[in-house]
Amino acid sequence: MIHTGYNPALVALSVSIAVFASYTALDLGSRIGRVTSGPRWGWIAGAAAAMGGGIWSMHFVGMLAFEMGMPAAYDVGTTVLSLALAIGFTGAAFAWIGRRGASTRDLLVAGPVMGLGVAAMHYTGMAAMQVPGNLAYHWPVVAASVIIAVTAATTALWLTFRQNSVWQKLIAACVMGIAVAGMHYTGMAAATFTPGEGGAHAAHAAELSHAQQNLALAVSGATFLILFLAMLASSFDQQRIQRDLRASEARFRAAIQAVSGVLWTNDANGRMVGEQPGWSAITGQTRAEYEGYGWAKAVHPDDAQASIDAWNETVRERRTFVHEHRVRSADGGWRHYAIRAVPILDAHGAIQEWVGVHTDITAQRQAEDELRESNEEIQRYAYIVSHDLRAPLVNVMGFTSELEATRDDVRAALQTHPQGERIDADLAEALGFIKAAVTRMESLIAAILKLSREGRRSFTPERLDMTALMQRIADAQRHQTGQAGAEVVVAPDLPVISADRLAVEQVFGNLIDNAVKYLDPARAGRIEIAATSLGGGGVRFSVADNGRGIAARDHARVFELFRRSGAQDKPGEGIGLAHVKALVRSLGGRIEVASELGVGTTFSVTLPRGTATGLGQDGPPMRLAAE
Amino acid sequence: MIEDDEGHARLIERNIRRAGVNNTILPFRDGTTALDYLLGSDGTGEVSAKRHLLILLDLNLPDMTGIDILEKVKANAHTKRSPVVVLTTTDDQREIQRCYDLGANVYITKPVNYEGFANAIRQLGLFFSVMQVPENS
Repeated sequence: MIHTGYNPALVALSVSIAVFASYTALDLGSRIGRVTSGPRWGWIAGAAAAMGGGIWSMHFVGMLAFEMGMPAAYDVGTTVLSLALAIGFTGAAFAWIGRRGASTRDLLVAGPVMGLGVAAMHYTGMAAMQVPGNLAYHWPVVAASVIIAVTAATTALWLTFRQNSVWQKLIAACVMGIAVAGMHYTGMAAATFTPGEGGAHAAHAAELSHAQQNLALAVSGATFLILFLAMLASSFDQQRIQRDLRASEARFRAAIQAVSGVLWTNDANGRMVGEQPGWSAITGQTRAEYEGYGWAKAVHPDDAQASIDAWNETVRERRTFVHEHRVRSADGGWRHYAIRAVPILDAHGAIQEWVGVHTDITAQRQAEDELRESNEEIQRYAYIVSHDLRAPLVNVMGFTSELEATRDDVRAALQTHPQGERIDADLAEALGFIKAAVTRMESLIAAILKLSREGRRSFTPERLDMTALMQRIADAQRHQTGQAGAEVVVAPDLPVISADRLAVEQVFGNLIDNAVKYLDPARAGRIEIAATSLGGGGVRFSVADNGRGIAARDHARVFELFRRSGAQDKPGEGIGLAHVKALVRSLGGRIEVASELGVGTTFSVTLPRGTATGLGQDGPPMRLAAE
Repeated sequence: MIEDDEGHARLIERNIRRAGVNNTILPFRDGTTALDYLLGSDGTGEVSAKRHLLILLDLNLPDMTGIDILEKVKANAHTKRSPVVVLTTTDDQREIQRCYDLGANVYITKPVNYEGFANAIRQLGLFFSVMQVPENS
């Protein structure tokens, strides 16, 4: 047995190496989980090198701090092996815990791996030491050292991957550092040195000690440098992440502004809390004023209660909030806003907070109101004009008939006149033209009147089985269809929609009637009626024929009043499609035509499946990313 | 006959005559002169006592609506027995109900085309020729 002791300065140095290395390694290690791809393995390797290298360097300095009063040499191969073991084990531990979807249970794998790595490094390092004597171990203390390493490593990893604050990381690093150092010195306590044949010379030992100190300083200097560089890399990464975060936040704010909206957040219970700069900016409310349900005081009194009710219901049902209301601006005026809000869920599916956007739709609303007003004005105008035009027309027609009734008298009076016959013929011609023109004008006025009436009609939506409805229309036209040698095929799976029966019947009655009317006599007529479901609650019905087709330049024109396309060989006023278009628009749909001359025509009518309420647009709640 | 359109007034008169009605037809082109004749300048309606009157009334008049005239005629003790025939272009259901509520005896919508118009007036003339008109009190 020889006298042994420790150099306190070097012990302190070795412990600080362990803590610093742990901090670096845990800092690098905590980045593993945030990287989505690519440098992921880079962070694992960096963390493993810092940790493994740090442990090794701590061990080496710790060994140098050990004054055993006899010369020691190190086997290079085994020393390198001990370094490799340290890096390998810690790397494996970081890789395991940094896996996607790793849970707390995985700590029970990664922690022991890292602890065993520390122990393996230590005892391999000890084996690399060549001393002129025997080395014996007290096994219970060895076991204690391994338990210390495993427990402390597990705790450190748990602390690291649980939280990200600098203080927590520092505590984790201290735990880990003390674990490494504690394991080392416990391991050393388990060892007993017995001098060999050569014996020891105190003077020689003192000299050696001086060289040992220099070596210790060199090793720790190099270690600190490497760790410092690793920290530097880490801090660059941190800056990059923050820059990205700031850019993303700025982009997000700009996007909200671009849709003239403001962003707000509510807590999980649906109460407004904290700083809400957007809401304050539009309403002028202070934080004390808007907190809780105070925001409702800035909502128009007529809309406030409805807004609160709708909001509470949304929060209760955890769905997407879609609403509109008026909000008092900071300047005292009322503005219309469309609102959408979604719950943000945490990893366990619980609502973390609500994020909503108020979009200013005042201008849109005003434009809509103006449009509606001008539409109503046009309809009123059309109604009045057509109504009032009929009164003088009755006179024109009436007195023309009266004139005609006096023709016999005129003819009798003209019998002796030399130009009598010519005058009578002129009279007849003039009367004929007047009557034809009046009849035409009468039908045009009647058409305008009918259109304006359709626009004013109120619709009563009811459930319509479209297959049955279309089949009835087709059956009603069987006579014409049969004469043309054509067939109307109604798809058996048309959907059920909710709309005004009369209007829908008129729309498709007109379209099918047209299809039958303008078939191509050169081929057997076939008219197909089908439907496709569209996103957003719409259904597109199509009436497709193989008739004579409409020239491309007439595609828009066919919907205009009194306009007709192609050969004018069929009776008609040019009213049907204008009427259909007005009806479809009143039903909240739209109509399009696709046609090729000589091939056929397809009219597509898109109708809403039911009455649109905005409640059907629920998206899935937004899930928070891994953050 | 209270009808602001002179042409219509002439056509109505001619077609009624064709149905064999020979009674005097007095045309009025606005509400004020018509009420003057019916209720007198004092507005009491005493002028119409002992008269046998049938009133042919258009609702669209320049100075008032025919409904105002109908209301006054049916509210006046001297004129309330006189049958009132409303002949107008309006086919609004509420307007029709209102006229009957106020005591109109017949409501006819002027047919849109002339043939229908002439035919309706001739039928009306035939109806007038067989109709009993009471003496006002």
